[in-house]
This record gives sequence, C-alpha cells and structure tokens, in this order.
Amino acid sequence: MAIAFNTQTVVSAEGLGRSFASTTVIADVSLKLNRQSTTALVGPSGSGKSTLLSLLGLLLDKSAGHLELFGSSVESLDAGTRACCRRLGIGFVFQHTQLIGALRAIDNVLVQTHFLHAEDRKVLMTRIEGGVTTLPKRALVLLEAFGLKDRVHHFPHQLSVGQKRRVALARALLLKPPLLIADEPTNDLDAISAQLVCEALFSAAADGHALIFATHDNNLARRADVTVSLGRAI
Amino acid sequence: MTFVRKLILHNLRMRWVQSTSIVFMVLLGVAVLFAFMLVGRGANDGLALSEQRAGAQLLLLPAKAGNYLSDTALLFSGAPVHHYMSSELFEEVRELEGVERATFQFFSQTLDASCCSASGETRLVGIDASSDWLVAPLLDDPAALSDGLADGQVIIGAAVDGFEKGTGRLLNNDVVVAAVMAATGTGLDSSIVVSADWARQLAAAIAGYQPFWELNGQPETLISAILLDVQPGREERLEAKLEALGDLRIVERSAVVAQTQQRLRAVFALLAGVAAVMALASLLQLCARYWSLSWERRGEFALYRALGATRGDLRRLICGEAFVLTGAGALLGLLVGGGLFALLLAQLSAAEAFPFLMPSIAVIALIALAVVAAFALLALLAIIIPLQRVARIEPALALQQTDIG
Ligand SMILES: Nc1ncnc2c1ncn2[C@@H]1O[C@H](COP(=O)(O)OP(=O)(O)OP(=O)(O)O)[C@@H](O)[C@H]1O
Ligand SMILES: [Mg+2]
Repeated sequence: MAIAFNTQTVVSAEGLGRSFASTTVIADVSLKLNRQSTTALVGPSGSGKSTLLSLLGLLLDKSAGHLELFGSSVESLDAGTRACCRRLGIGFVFQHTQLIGALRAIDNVLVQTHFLHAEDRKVLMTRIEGGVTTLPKRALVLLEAFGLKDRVHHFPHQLSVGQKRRVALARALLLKPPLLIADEPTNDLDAISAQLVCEALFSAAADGHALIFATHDNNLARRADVTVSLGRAI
Repeated sequence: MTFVRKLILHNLRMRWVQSTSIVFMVLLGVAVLFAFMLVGRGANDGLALSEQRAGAQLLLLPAKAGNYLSDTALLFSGAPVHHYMSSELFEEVRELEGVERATFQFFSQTLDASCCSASGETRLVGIDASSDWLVAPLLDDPAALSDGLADGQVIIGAAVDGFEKGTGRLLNNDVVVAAVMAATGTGLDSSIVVSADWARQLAAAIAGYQPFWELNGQPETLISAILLDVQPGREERLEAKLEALGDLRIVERSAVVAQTQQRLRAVFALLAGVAAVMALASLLQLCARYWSLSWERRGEFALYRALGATRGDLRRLICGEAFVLTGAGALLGLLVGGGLFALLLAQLSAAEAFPFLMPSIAVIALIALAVVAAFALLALLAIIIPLQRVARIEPALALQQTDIG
C-alpha cells in the first residue's frame, strides 16, 4: 500500500491510550499535527511523554483510541507499510541519542540509506533535489550546519552529549521526513548547545516538517504553537 | 554491502575473539573435510585402478629383498629393490606347470634431476618386451612395444615430467620417449621403463653398484623380479612348487590389495569420524555464536527497525554477516586444507604404501564446492533460530538503549 506523504495533516489522534499490563500510562490523548506546526509535550517524569512519542513514531502499538498518520488509520497499515512510514515519514530524535558506536558520525547520519527500498528512491526523488545520490553530500551539509564540520569522522564515543544529539538530529532530518519527533532534545545540554539544537528543530518546522517534542524546559515549550500537557506525575 | 562490511569489521574488532573463532571453526572444519575427502577419493580411485591395471597375480622377488619392505610397498610404491637373482630362475619358473604367463623386470637405481630430465624421484625399470603383457595395455600407443624397446627408447609413467618434448636425458644418454603409460596409482606412475638389456648396461656403468655385481654376478645374468599369472585352479600347487625353488619371496597381489583395502577402510572410517565430529563442533560453535550475537546486538537491531528497516532487511543483514564470516572461513579453509592434504598424504604414504591417484582439477573443484556448500548449510542451520529471534525484536526496544554497540 502506497502512502501519500504530502498530506497537510500529518498526525491525527483521537482518545489515544496505552497501557502496560494493568498500568495505564497514557489515556485519552487527542492531538493534531499539521505541517509547519510545532507542538510541545510537557509533563513530569514518568507521565508518558516518551510513550506517546513512540506511539506517534510507530515504535509502539496503541492500546486504545484512534491514530491516523498521513491520512491513513495505522490499523490499516501492514508491517511493510509501517516500516516504510518509519523510513520516509518520521524522523525520530531519541531521548538517549542511540547512535551506533561502530559507525562514524557521517555514517550514523547515513545509516537509514542502507535500508532504502527501490520505491523509496522514487519518493525521495521528488522530496530531495537530486534524489538519493546526493544524500552523502546532504549528510555533510547537515553536520556542517550543526557545527560538526570537524567531527564528521569521529566515532560516537569521541563526541560530547550535545554533539551526539546534533548527529542524531542530522540523522532524523536526512530524508526530510514530514513528521519530526524529538524526545527531550535539549536535555543535558548547556545553553549554547541547547540553542543550536532548538534552532535546527524550529527551522526544520519552518521548512515544512510537523514538529513534536517532549521537554522539561518551559521556555522551550512556550516557543511551540501548541502545548500538550500530560498529567499524573509518577 | 559497504554497511555490512563496516559492521563486520567492527564486529571483528570489538568481539574479535568470537568472530575469529567463527572463522577459525569454519576454517578448521572445511580444511579437515577437504583434505580428508581428497585423500579418500585419491586412494579410492588408486585402489580401483590398481585392481584393474598393472597387475600380475604373483610377484616373485629374491627372498632377501623383501626383508625390509612390506608387500604393499613392493607392490604399490615401487620401492627400489637393489637385490638381484639369476635370470635362470626366470626360465625355470616359466616352465613350471600352472604358469599361464611370466615376465621379468630389472630394477636399476632411483633417478633424480642430477642424472636425468625427470624432476621428481623416478625409478628406472627394465622390462622384457617379448614376454611383457603388463606395460602394453597402459600405453597411449600400444604398438610402441610390439618391436621391443631399442636402447635409448623410454616409456614414461603418467607422473614423470621433464620429457614434454618427447626427448630427454637419462644417465648421460639422449633418450626418446616411445610412449607414455596411463596412470595406475602405483609406483609405475613415477617410473621410466627401458628394455631390460639396456637397463642392465646402464646399471653396469653405475660405479656405486659394483658391490651388487660382485655379490650376484654380472648384470647381464640378473633380474630383479618375476611377474606371473597363474592358470585358474592351479594356484596352490604352483605356490608349493615356487616355494620349493627356495629363496623367493612370493607376493600375492589379490591378497595384498584386499588387505590394503581393509586397512585403508579402517583409516578412512577414522578420518570420516574425525571430520564428522569437526563438522558437528563447527555447527554447535556457530549456533552458540549466532545465538549470543542476536542477544548482544538486539539494541542495534531494534534501532534499525525504529529507523525503518523491515524484518527482511534485518534477516539480510544477519545472513550477509554470516555469509562473510563463513565465506572467509571456507576460503581460508580450502587453502589450509590443500596444505593439510599434502601433509596427510605424505604422512599416510610414509606409514603405509597404498595406491593413490591424484584427483583431477575438476574433481578437486567439485569436492571443494561440496565442502563449502556443506558449511554454508551448517551456517544457515546455525542462524535460523537467531534470525527468528531478531525478526521478533520490537522497534520500541530502541528506546531503552543509550548508544548502541
Ligand atoms: N515497556 C514498558 N513496560 C512497562 N511500563 C513501561 C514501559 N515503558 C514505559 N513504561 C512506564 O510508562 C511510564 C511512562 O514512561 P515514559 O518513559 O513515557 O515517561 P516520560 O514522561 O518520558 O518520562 P521522562 O520525562 O523521565 O522521560 C513510566 O511509569 C514507565 O515505567
Ligand atoms: Mg521520556
């Protein structure tokens, strides 16, 4: 099943819920993410921010409610299409950067390109000028834009937390996914690094991505168009 | 593939003990299996051939000749016998009742590159063309023997080299190759055959052989071996008569072949057992390795899933890694196996003479292919369960990890 990634509304959730065994972590969350919109997710630790982002990122299955991605109900998607959505539709910046220690920064940014399928290339042809062949160059451009010009060939263990976060962000942005999910992107960062990452996120949204991010930083949350609050601190 | 290669290099670096142990395990298994199969095949073909070819039923030698040589060595490896007996004995034996046909041979020195064109160690055998029935059937040109062999004419064994142009040097003489013998899997393959008369003349001129002539008489009157076929049903009576001639060592070909077959079978059963144990150990090692690998790297695999890899992509990745490791092991294994084969052959033939026919390139390639295919299958068996486990990894697992690998 082919997904049209160019819908204006990227995510639409209605009464979304998720339980682990008998514990309900999130319940009855409704939200709508449009292109160029920015949404902040706030709430105390354990309130389910990461869980909600995982639901939206198709990393985790919901246990209640209705979720639409790119105009299609997620239930209607087979495993292959869901994987395709993760590849081409969603850029995920994990709370813990999740870089691959075996790979240099540039190869971490490019890691997804090794899993591209033939039909993905056609989609990317319309999305990225020059198509997949320009991706290595684009990866370099992204790293340079994030101030990592001289860290391109470093391994993750040779990078600071803030630098790793920016590499992870470059990885998420490489294929220009319509939906950008960032889990506490400024956590552990000093003011300058945090600023760098924020600017990158918001300028991506201005470029047409729908951005949702979880944060404990109220100043950052205030910059978003919409704030979704998860309660019930645990 | 570049990606897979990178991960494998990383794997080798970070978990080099386990990764090299996979390569080593495959290497060992492939090497042992390859070498054993080559030896087995060559010996099997050699035995089959020696049953068909180059056989007189009985081989008679001077009794003292055999003391330090086994029947198998005399029959198969063409061990040099520097003991001689009177040619009158041949006439006596030929006349005995029950003898179907008989011929004699005269063995001269063992030749090497210092005295003749042949590069390897080569035996010089003089035959009696008028009575010989053993060499003619082996010749590419059977008519070559019909007029006997002139002085300076040689017939060379299948494994004798240095005579590619049809001419060569032999103990300071120019010689012409009259014919080439087919492979027999025995010492005949590395022999140069000349007429018995010329062999005697050549031998007479060898300085170091004077003690033999002083002991036994002039070479013109001597022979080294009598070969004969027996009329059916006369075996026992003839044997009694031959024994009565005294001072003869009688080697019965069929008995020796049967005995050798039996011994070889025992050796090869042992080798096959060792090979089977090696293969099983390889399989277990591979299973254990891939099993733990699928657990150790589950965070990495979950991340690939989170980034959009399908289950199929992960399967391909793991298969690719297994393929590279197994391939490297198999390739090195074939190389090591070739060396092991040479070593094994040398060791086995030093311990026990047996007919051996070097397998052809095509057969070697086929055996190599079969061994590699067998290990590819083992590797496939070993990754089946890990593949399933990895395919079941949920992308959400990526959330619980920090940096990966
Ligand atoms: N796989 C799981 N099994 C059981 N419980 C889980 C699982 N994943 C998360 N939880 C629970 O869900 C709750 C919400 O976790 P989550 O990580 O979403 O919180 P969070 O809001 O992101 O917290 P933080 O701000 O600390 O990152 C926690 O109580 C956690 O224990
Ligand atoms: Mg969290």
